Amino acid sequence: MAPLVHLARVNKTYQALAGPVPALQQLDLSIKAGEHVVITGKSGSGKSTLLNLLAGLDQPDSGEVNIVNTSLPELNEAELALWRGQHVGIVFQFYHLFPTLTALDNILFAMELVNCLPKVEHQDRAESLLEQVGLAAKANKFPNELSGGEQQRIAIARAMANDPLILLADEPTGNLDTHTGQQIKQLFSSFHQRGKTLITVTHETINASAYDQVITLVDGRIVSKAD
Amino acid sequence: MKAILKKLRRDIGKTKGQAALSLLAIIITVWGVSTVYYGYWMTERDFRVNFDQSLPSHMNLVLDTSDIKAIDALIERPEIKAIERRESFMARVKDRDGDWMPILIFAVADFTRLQVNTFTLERGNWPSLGDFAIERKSSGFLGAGEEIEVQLPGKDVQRFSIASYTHDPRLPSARMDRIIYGYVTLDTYRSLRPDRSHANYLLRLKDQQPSQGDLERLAQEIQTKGVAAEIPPLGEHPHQNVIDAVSVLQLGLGVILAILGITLLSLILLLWMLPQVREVALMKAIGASTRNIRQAYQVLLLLAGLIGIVFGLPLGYLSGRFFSHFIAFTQNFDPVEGALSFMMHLPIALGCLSIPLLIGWRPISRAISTSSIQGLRSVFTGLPRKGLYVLQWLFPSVIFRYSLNSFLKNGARLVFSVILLVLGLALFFVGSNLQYALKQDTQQYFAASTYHLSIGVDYADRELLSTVEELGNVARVWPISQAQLYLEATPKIHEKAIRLQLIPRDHSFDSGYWIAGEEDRSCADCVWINQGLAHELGEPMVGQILQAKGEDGKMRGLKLTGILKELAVGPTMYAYSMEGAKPNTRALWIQLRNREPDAIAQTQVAIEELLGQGLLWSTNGEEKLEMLRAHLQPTFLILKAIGGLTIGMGLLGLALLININIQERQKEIGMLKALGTGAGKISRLLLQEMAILNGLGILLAIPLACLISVEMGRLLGATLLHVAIPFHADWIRMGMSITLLLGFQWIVWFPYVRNKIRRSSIDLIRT
Repeated sequence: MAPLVHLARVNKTYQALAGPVPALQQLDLSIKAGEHVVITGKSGSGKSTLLNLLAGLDQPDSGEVNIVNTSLPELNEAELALWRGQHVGIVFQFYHLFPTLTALDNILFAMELVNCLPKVEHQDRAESLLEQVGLAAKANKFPNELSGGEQQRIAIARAMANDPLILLADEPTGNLDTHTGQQIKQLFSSFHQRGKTLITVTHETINASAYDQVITLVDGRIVSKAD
Repeated sequence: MKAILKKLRRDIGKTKGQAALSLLAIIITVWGVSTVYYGYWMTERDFRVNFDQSLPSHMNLVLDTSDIKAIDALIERPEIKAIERRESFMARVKDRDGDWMPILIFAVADFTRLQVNTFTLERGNWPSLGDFAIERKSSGFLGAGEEIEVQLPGKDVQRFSIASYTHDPRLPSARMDRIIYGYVTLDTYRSLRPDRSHANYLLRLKDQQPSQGDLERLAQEIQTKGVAAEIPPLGEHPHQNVIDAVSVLQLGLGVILAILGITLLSLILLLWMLPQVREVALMKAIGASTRNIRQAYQVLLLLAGLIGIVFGLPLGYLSGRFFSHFIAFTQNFDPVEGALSFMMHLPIALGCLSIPLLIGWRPISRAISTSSIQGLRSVFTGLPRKGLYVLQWLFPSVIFRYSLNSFLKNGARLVFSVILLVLGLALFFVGSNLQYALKQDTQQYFAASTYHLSIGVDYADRELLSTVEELGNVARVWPISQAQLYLEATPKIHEKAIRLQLIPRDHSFDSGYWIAGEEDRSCADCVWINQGLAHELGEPMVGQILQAKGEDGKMRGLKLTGILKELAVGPTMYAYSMEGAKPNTRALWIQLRNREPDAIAQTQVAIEELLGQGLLWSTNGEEKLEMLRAHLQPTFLILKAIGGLTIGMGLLGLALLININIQERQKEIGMLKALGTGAGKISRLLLQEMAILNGLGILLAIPLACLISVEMGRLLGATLLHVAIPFHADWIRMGMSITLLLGFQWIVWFPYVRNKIRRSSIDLIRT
């Protein structure tokens, strides 16, 4: 079976005032559908850059990025946006919910913008997702009325809104206390158990046995891969 | 505080575009407000100086030429400064194009010793016997050194030469009134009118500003000696109504402009302070004192105010001067060249300096009083109002709810932006509406007129009237007689000479012309007046009895039966008959069959030729309309200038709001892209917000503009025409203005937004 995510010889360099800073160097990566993968590394190791490439938020300078049978470097900005909306769900460290929309509307908004699911299903699906993240009672609350953990749960529900194959999370528990972080991890696991491919970026110490792959980055290179 | 100031200076350096836009807004605001301020004071000064320098008469005397000794006795009185003979009479003169024009001729006793209602020699020499001087504003029609043909009623055409130009600030522009003003010596006058039995004198007291009571007592005393004495409205220029209208408009629009400027500044400061909340919180978190932070911001605001003054005030002074020069030009004044005193600059400078301080106080205080924790948390979170919950149920589309909520999140900024947009649009609409309303009103007025030509004649018998009636385009002719009346002084008015127009009983004015009451055929000595005279008589009520003395010297009570609306006609009284008044046709009102402008002009020429020597003057509706428009020109210029400035300020405010809105929401835009939204869809989302703002602005601006138009029409009409200008909305121009406004925003906004949206999602989220 062809891998869901396939990266080969990927390079990415940022231009800084002091000169070019390589973020990813000759990176190869392969992820199968349904895997739970963790990308770790110290600050500046290139984890977030890798996640941005996987999400189609950024493009490599060279190399292949093939995800869900699509070569991302061949897509323009508009095509990438469409692809992203249909195949990828992203969760950020700082939630980035729309402050002017309620919890339920944040999920509905993601659906209406991408519009890849039948419209009649939007409301039921959004309510069901809220129930899955345990926040059905707070559907009509605005983000500033919710705690950090609750906001992150809404962000996860929003990421799942268009039923993506891949769920990407950038330090999803980095801004939360240990107990709430644990709850968020459990939530991710529940989505993984339902068949989603889950790729998480973290700098926390992790239990490698709980994941299908643990990729450690140092200076933009994969230094270890544990299956 | 120095460290904080240094940081603030760097903050400004980082947002150069926004800082430049803010300073531009402050400069424009100061410029706008100071233009109105300086323009108002300079116009007032020009007007007052020109008027006072002409030594206006305190009393006009009329006496029998055989009783000149009465004047000698008056001159001896200690309170009297000067008495000077000054005659005035109407004739007609051929202009350069060979067309006859009315000329008002003043006969002066001694040009070298003018003491009352003075004027100056502009070019050439004072006229001698057989020469004319003309007022400088008549030079468009006649010129110094030219030979002119002048004809007095019933007399042969006589030739004179123009010796000089004068400047008489008491007289309006000849082009404006379509009348030429000329001056001759008393000897020339006597040769022209040897049959005159009355002499007119101008009297001026030593007291520069005598009281109305003193003047009335003196007038009564003079009248006991058989000399008619009339007191002109004290301190009022002959075209005071135009000056008043300009002043009212300037002051009114100045207030609106100040509100607009303050709103714009408030908006800018609010926008500027928003990102500063977090910065203030950080400064407090690392130990800066509230006092130091406040002082640093105050210094910054003070600097902004100073920059506004340094650039805006001189600009305002120059444009105010330009404006006052324009008004002086239209009103035939000489602009006063001296600088304004320091005390005149001080209030506007202090006002402009304090505006940013006062306005900036609240947002700064709020930012400073926010706790560190609150301030640091206020990044990427909005504070939706509780009322928003209700709106969530009203709009089914979440995409529309997003736009609406994002728009409402702006809070005070939104209120200021809407005020700015609404005021700008409303003021612009008011200008269009007023101009359109006046055009509609005058057109309707002249369309409903019973007569289309009015002809002044020296004498007209039945035979002449029949000849005029036989002209092809003439439908009807009404001969109008005149009688002299002297209205008795009342607590509201002093004794006033009135020329009563006696009109035939088969004439009646259009029903739409009546402001109150109507003509009454049933009673003798019933009169009706137009709104101009009603204003001069202190707005009398219909049914009131006006006491007046006729030419026969008998007092009689005249019953006022109606007040008539008449445009481009001086204060006038009408009656069907008057006891003791003899028929003496002085004017003809002529109704025409074909009222096309060309047909009217042709008939007018035919009648002028027919009447020959007997013609005093002739005018048609179009000429009256043109005269009215010329009078209103300065008023509309002010409206247009202020309206344009207002729209400019409104657009600047909008551009600023759009800029900040996009800057502030870059993360949101990045998130929208991360969620899979294309650039086109994001543009449409943001457009939706702008559409809401514009829609709200337009919805509020139209009714507001209508309300202001009604009020301004009333105010301006009362000042200029002594009757309100009825409201008419200029929907076409309003529609065009809205289209232009939206088009402008599209041109400015779309490339900017597209550029911002083009950036990658991650770039935007990292902003």
